[in-house]
Amino acid sequence: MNIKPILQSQYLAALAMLKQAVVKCPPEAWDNPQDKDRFWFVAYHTLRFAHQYLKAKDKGYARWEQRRHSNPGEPFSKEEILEKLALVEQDVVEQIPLMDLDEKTGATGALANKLELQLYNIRHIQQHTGELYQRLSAYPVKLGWASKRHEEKK
Amino acid sequence: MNLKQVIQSQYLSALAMLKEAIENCPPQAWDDPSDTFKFWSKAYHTVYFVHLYLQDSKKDFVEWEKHHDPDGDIPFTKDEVLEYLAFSEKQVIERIPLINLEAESGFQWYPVDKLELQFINIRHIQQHAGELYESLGAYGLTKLRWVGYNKTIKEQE
Repeated sequence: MNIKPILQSQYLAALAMLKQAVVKCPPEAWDNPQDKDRFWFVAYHTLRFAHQYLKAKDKGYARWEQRRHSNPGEPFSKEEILEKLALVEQDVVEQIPLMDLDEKTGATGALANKLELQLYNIRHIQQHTGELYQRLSAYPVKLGWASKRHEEKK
Repeated sequence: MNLKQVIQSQYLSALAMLKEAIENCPPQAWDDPSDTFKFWSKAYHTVYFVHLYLQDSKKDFVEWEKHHDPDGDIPFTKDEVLEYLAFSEKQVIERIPLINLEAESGFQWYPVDKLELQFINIRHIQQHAGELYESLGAYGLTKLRWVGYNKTIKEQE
């Protein structure tokens, strides 16, 4: 069976939810000093690893610039995060077709193969999206669940 | 590791994180009247859909023996939800080998195949686990663990 279009669909659904959270984050929540991990940093961290684990090969590409959430005054802007999110969406479209899903991966240690790494990565996006959705529940914003690619329930 | 073992490993990892949230939930957060979607109700809802979407179809679904209306006034206890979660872990082990992943989902509101339904279900667990982890941050619980894979499934390789 062809797993790759399903992986792409589920990646894009998870990313669509992360995008909703980023787009609807009010300015006061973006870099709130009261948060242990600030909103922008959680979004950035999620995208950085999504990008890293979406590569068809484990090595041979440049990693993104790292920014530490503990450095005040240096947050990525919402526009910068949305640009990175679009790059990850592009990775989903371009890298998954090139990937050997049965190949071993050294990316996180003990995972079985590239296929398991992709499910792990989708879960990682969804975990942090859940955290950000919960954080936004303190604000009057409406967020939806996306079941699959291009499908959102409000 | 084959596809079904990978699915089991990732289901069980997501459920382990949900379990981590439930076990660490302080008593005052379990049924907090200020929560729109109470902790216990969200945890139960998540396990309920794990159980449901592991069946062939809605008509094949037999509710858990202790099920009652989660919208009612009687919260499930932490032990009950943990018991249901253990039941759902067993369902993952028993049901995944039997599912034809290429068949239609069996649930008319999800026009996808069984494989995509399992991925949706895993994402659904993780979404709510993330929400519950974040809500526990308000109680100083900021070091709940990330579970990457399931060791038992891995050892079957």
